[in-house]
Amino acid sequence: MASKSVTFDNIKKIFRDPQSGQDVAAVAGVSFRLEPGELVTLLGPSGCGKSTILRMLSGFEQPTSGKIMIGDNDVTNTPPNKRDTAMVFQSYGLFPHMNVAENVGYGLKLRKIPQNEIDTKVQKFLEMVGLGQMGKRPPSRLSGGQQQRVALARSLIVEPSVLLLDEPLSNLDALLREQMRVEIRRLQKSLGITAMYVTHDRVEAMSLSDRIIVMKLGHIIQIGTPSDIYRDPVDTFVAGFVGKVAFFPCEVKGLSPLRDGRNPSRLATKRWSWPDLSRFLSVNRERVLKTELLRRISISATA
Amino acid sequence: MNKKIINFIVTLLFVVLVGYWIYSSVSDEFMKQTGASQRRTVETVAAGYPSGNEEVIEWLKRLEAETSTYRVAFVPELPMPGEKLTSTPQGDSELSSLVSENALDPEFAKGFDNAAYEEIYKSSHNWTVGKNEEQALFFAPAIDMKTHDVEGALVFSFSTDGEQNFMRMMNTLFFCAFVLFAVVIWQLMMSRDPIVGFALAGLFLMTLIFVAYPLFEALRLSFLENGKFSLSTWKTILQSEGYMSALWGSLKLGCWTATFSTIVGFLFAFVVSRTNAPCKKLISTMGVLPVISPPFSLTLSIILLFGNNGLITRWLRVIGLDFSIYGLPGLVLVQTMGMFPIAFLTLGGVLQAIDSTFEEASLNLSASRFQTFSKITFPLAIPGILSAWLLVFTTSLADFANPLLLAGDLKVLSLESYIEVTGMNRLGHGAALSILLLLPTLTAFLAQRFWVAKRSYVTVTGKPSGRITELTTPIVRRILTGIIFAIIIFLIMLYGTIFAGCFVKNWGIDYTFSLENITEAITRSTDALFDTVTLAAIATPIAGIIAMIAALLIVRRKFHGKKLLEMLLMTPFALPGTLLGISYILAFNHAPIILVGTAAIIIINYVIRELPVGIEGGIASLRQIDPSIEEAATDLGADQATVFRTIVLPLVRPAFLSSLSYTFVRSMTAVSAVIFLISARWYHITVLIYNFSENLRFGLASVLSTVLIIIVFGAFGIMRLVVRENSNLTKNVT
Repeated sequence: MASKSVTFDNIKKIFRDPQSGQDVAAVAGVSFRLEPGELVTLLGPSGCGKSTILRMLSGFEQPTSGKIMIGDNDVTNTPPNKRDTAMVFQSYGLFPHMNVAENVGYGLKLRKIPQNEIDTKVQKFLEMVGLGQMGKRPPSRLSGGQQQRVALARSLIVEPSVLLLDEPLSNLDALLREQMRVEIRRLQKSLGITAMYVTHDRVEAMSLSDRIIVMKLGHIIQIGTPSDIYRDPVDTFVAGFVGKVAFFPCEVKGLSPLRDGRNPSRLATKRWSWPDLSRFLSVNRERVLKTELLRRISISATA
Repeated sequence: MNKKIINFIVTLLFVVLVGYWIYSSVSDEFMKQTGASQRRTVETVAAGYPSGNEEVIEWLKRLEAETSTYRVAFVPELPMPGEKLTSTPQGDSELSSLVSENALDPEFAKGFDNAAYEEIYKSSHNWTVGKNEEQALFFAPAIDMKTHDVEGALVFSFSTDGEQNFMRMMNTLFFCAFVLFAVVIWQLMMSRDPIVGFALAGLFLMTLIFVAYPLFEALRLSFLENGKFSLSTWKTILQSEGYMSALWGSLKLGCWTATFSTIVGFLFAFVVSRTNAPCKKLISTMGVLPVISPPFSLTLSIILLFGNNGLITRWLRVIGLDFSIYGLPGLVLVQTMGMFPIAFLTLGGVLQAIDSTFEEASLNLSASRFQTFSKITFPLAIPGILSAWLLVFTTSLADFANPLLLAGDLKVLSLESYIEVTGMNRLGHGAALSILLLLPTLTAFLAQRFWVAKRSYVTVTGKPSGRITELTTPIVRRILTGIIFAIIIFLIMLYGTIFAGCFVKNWGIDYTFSLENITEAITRSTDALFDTVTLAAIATPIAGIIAMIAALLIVRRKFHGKKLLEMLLMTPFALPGTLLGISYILAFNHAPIILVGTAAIIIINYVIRELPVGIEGGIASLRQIDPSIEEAATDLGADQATVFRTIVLPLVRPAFLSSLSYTFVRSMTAVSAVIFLISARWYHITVLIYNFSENLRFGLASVLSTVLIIIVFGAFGIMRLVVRENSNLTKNVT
């Protein structure tokens, strides 16, 4: 399976609100790149445009402007069935009139592969997701977690260049969710497939991503590894979304040496790499302060 | 994008050039061929020229009698160049006068010149011979066989109708081909989803040609007199007392039928959903049954029982009661029997959907059962009652079969428009009358759709309680059930009468048992029955597939003109059948589309009329299916056609099957539109039933009605069985 990169180049998606007749930008010009074999999570509250990005990558929505590349191919105008992507849906989207094996084999059948080859391959993938014995069952007789495994196997069997996961775990209960998370990450890594994962669950995003893209109102707020984003949120929104934090509106009057004797400005610049620290320190403005920071910077709270 | 448009235009230009080249070479070839064959005819005929005056006249007469493909005139003496004719031409009179008038024309001079040199000459342009007839002229020498002298010239003229028809056909054909090509190329070049584009283009084309165009033609004709715009048709209609009384008749009939049907329907629905009455299954079944009974069947049995010579009429005469069933009361009775199921189905759904918790709360607050009914249940059901009333009103107004047999002196619009068209041959009046009928129908339909339906109190809790709040005391319950069973028994009696009618020698006169009617009816109706079944069987799958495709596009796709397409597709549902029938014969008996007399016009009419119900079913069913199921298939590499075939169709199978059976049954029992469209070649069994009843052959009509009832009920039964097998599937889908 040759994994490929994915490039979004200044992608905009504008919808027309049917009620007011006004144009609303669901995605307001985003650019990013997924390296081959990387799992990147789109994280953000509902309505931030993350699902729209995924649907544009799969081809179900067409961007209003911009360019989408998979590998070296411009796929902006390619219909979904001609794209080398496979999607795992939030509601699984299993075909209720086919049994598990037929579901998994559907994509291969479309590719006109001989039935006996399909059978072997389906069995292999079912075993890979731990459903080796379930081939003959109708999807309705499976648990939610099993159904999602079927959906995963169905997507992986066609050997896509990019795997898309649209909140695949949100319909599962908590325990199952953790198991599936591990499973998805394991399969993705072992197959070395490029994957894009959409979720609004920060724990999910933190635990399985190589990188996270945090979105808000159609804009990308921050891109980085989970630890970057956790430790170094660019603003209160990101901080609030990825961690349990308390915000204290405050005014920085000046810096004094911390209790352990280190210079707070050095700490701030070196360890926290916040932009433009001097401005932060001299101008009255709201800033994100983690509790451990509070201990180190002498501040006077105004609220 | 601009580059694409340029590409498109270039391709289109290329297509136009190639098309034009094919067009001109084909038409040239055709002209050459006809010219050559005409020249051969001229040669052969001219070779048979006899000498001598009398023989020539004799010969010319024989030619005129023998053939109609050409005309001949004989010019006895060839004029000198530039001089007038010295003799009068003989033969065909119109052609002769043309020759003598134009003898000095250079074309004629050339023709005579050629004849003098024993050559055949074809005039370079066509000439008008007689009354506006374009004809091709040939000049041939008249040679004396013995002396080999040229004695004169023979002038032949050939009709050019064939060529003109051919050219007209070619023009239409090439224009259509061009439009088709343009659409196909546009889709292929511009759209990411050509299949969806084609499906949409097809649907738009279909509705424009078979819904909008015929209606427009009907409207246009009602404003025409002698080919010019005129209001005279409408003036006549609106000022004529007869036509206005037909309008009032229709409205009166509609109001009475709607009121009675709503009362009966509410009674049935109430007893089924709010009481613990016995035999509810039977009540529900009998409350639905008449809706699928074929036209004429209930009317027929009413006539058999209460007609002038009916079974019951005679008993009543014995006790001194004399009445006539023909007219308003009889029609209201028969329509109520046939149409209360519409009210029952509507109100049953409404009452079931009203949460009985309201009533329990009311009873719990120590209101009596009657108070609960009058203060809670009934007010909540009012929007449903209104909409049931309006639905029945619309159906009654559009009804055609029942008034046809039972109207008596009562005039109704649907019937009047039929009489205007078939009896008086005043198509314009017929069209105008059926448009007049459309006004109240459409008003009621729109009122139901957009006004009443929005004021619904139906509460969707998603948790059907399953319990029944008993709202009647035992006595009331017994009275209500009593009334219902009386109605049911009456219905069974009506069906029984038709059945009995098959086995009676001559109803009303001779009640001895006989199988004559059955054998006669079968032999006389075999062809019609075969036609009816064939046409319905062809229309059914077409309507079913188109309905599902349309539903899929409407539910799942965003496209420009969606509202328009929906409206065009749904319009036939609100149209009275007579209007549709009349507009079809108006639109499709002249160029560019001539379909009258073919099976196609009947099939198309079935498909168009029954589509709305199939589409509604498909839409309801698709709304319950998670779109990600289809998306998953697309994502795995299936194109739109494959998704439709392998995913959508299996999933909407129950809706698909019921749309199929609905179309089949409705096509088998159609009458109001089809009565205009049948021809000697393609007949419909319902029209045969009508003809038999008109001729008082009630035995034959009974047999055919019974056959139809068996076919219809059979089709529904099979559908029920198949759908039940699929019911586990539906559960999984939602």
